[in-house]
Parts: sequence; structure tokens; C-alpha cells
Amino acid sequence: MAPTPSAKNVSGVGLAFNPALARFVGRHRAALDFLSVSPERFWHDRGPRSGARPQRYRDIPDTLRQLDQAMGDLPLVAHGIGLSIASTGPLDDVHVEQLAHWRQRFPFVWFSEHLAWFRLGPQHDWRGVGLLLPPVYDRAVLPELTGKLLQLHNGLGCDVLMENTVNYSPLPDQDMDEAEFLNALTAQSPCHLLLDLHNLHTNAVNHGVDPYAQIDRLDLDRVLELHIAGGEAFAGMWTDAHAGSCPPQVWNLLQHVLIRAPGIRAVTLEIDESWAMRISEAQLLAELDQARSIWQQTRARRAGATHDRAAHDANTHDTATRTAADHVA
Amino acid sequence: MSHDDFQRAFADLIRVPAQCRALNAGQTRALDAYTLSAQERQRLQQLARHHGMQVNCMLYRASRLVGITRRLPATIDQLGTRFRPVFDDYLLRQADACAEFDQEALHFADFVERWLANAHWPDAERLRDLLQQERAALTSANLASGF
Repeated sequence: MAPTPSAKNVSGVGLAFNPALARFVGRHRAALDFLSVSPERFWHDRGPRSGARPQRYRDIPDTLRQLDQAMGDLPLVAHGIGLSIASTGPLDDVHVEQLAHWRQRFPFVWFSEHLAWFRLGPQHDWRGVGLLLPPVYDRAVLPELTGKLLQLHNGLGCDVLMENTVNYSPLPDQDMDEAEFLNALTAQSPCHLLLDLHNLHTNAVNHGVDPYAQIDRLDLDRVLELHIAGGEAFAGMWTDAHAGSCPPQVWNLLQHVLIRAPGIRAVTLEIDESWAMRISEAQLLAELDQARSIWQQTRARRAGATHDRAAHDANTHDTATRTAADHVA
Repeated sequence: MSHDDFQRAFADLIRVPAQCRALNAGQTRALDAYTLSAQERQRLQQLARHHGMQVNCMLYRASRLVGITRRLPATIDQLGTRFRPVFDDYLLRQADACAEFDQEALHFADFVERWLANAHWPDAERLRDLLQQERAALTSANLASGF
């Protein structure tokens, strides 16, 4: 396999690409620091039963052309929607091979996936289950997952991030809650976190969880990317519909996390394809502006705090030195 | 094996609302087809009572509807109020939810063809024509991409 072209640096605010946003991206690249793309949108997949990679996958030329034209020089991060990593059974290694192959052409900086299962395992012919469902947060689940994450990391040759999942029907009586499970996963595997703030908000609204407490219990040093989005009410619950504007609670969470997590490199706005057609360019630009404004304010506050702390440390050091000198004298 | 069956049972509770309702009503035989630990049985029983399962079931139906309605709009229009019972039966018999719209739509088109053989509807010929046209459009689009 030829070496992957070196990936560019990613830092700032970006957009999750979909074909409905192609024209917007082409016209407003300057408003973006990077693009997040789902590689699975750019090929047909006959499914894990269809054998080796060349037989299984076919590029979709039209959508590839749209991406080529829209992205310009923007760096890419990849957001997978095809691995079903929390399914029981082995990792879909042909799919990993296809992702690595795609990375030769589109050198994404890192790869994220949902910490979820959406297919039954090979014992059931990889049957699709139509929804993203989180793993059981039990200790017994961790060894299989961490093994797959190591395999994925080695197969792609880049950082791998797992995304926290929306959960409409949490299981009772699990060994750990979500924050504990994510911490254990990142401690025991090479993976980082993609923290989806709208997913956190959705779970908080639906199940009365405090999202700030959840965030504060997470090992934020492992978070590289944040997702922000809007949702909508449906059947008595708040759903992660990626529907237009982010609610105020998500902006507040964004500020809260960015102040506390210096290692975060990317904030990605997600808008579903069907909603992208209903939102104006001005609205979309306003969402990106707000994200950028919070990004810059929190960076400035952190830089100020670091400066103050350094000044405080220097003063303390001077005082201690003087005191020691006085004592010696 | 047990955790594998746990995922299968969870997925089936979402796919088949009647099974979820039966478990919710205390009919634990709804889980007899799966090899489960006592803890997994208990979790699934509690899950069946959770109001979020209703949302899971609806989102599941919506996710399978999208590809079908986008790719076969004329057929769905012609089916009218008959669409719902056909779709319900399709979900029961075609358990594999395809992530790709085209594949899901083609599976559904095949299913409607089979349904038409026994339905004796006065507009059966019209429905067959529409299915043929929409299936042809899908197939040629896939052929054009080399799939």
C-alpha cells in the first residue's frame, strides 16, 4: 500500500459535509477551518457478506465530484457511519481496509465512529437493526471493544475517536454509567473521544441527567473533537435530529467544555441533509459564527488564565526565593 | 453467545412492537427464543416498560421508510392507505434494515411484487407498471455507478 499523504493540521470550527451543503461549502470555505466527512456517503457497500474489498465497494462518482469541488484546501476529518463497532463478534476488517484505502485519496487527520451497534454480528449475517444503540456499560464488554479499537487504530494509521451516543431507553443496572465507561475505554485503548454535546443534551432532557456533571467526570484530556447540532421534539422526547439551529443549552455546554479542555482541536456543526435544504445560508453562517466566537473567547480566556497563573507562579517563586534568602541571611 | 442473543432480542423488540408490548404486559415467553442470562432477561423486561422504547420503535420505522418513500414515490402514492399494512408486513418479513436507500427500496419493490400476486387489487396492473418504472430508474442509476 502506498504511504498515505500527510494529513493537514485541524484547529477551529468546521461543518459536517453532506451533498445538500456542497454549494454552501464551495461558496463559504473561508468560514470553515475544516470539513468532517462520512466516507460511507461516497461509496455503495454490498455488505459484509459480499467478500473482498474490490467486490464489495463501488465509488459514487457524483458525490465524490461534489466533495472534490467543495473542499478546496480544507483539511478533512472522517466521521464513520459503517463500522457498528459495539456489535458482538469481530471487527468488520474489510470495512477498515476500505476506510484506509479511502484515506489514500482523502487524507483525513483522524477517524471518528459512534460508540454504538447498528448491525447484528456475523452470526446473523450482519443484519441491519435500523438504529444506533449504545453498548451495555458493563466491564465485561470492554476487552472486546478495546481490542477492536486497537485493530482500527493500527489499520487506519491515525487517531481514532469514539462518539458518545444518544440513548432513548437506557438499560437498568449497568456496571458503569456513560462517563465511567468512556473513561475506562480511553484509559484501556488508544482511542480518543468525540464528545457530541447535543447527544449529551438530548440524554439530559430525556432522562434528567445533569450534562455538566457528566462532562466534569469525563477525562477531558482525551477529547479531540466536539459535535454541536439542533434537535426536535418527537413522541414526548427530544431527539437528535440535527435539525437546524443549536439550542441555547448546547452553546452553554460548548463554552463549559472549551474552557476546561485545552486539547480540543475541532468543533463540528452537524445539520441533517433534509434540514440543510430548509436553513438559509445566513442562518448557517450565523451558527458557524457563534461557534467561532465561543471558540475564540474561550481560547483567549484560557490564554489569559495561563498568563495569570504563570505570573502568579513567578510571584510565588520570587517571594519564596526572597523568603529563603532572608532566612539564610 | 448470551450477549449476542441479547443484542438480537433488543433489536427484535424495536422491530416488532407487538413483541415489545407482550413483554411489557409481563409475557416473558416473548424472550424464549433467545439464550439470555437472568440479568439480561431482567434488563430486557425493564427496557420493554421504558417509554423510550416507543421512540426507538418509531425512529426505526422512520429510518426504514426514508429510502422507500424517496426512491419509490409514485408506487407509494398509488398504494395510498394500503401502504401501511404492506409496510408493516414488510418489516416483519424483511428483518435486515439496509443502510443504503437504494437497496431498501429494491427489497421493498420485490416485496410489493409478491404481495400483488395475492392481493387482487383492481389497480394491480397500474402498480406493476409504476414498480417497473421506479425499479428501472434505480437499477440504471446503480449500473451507471458500476454497482
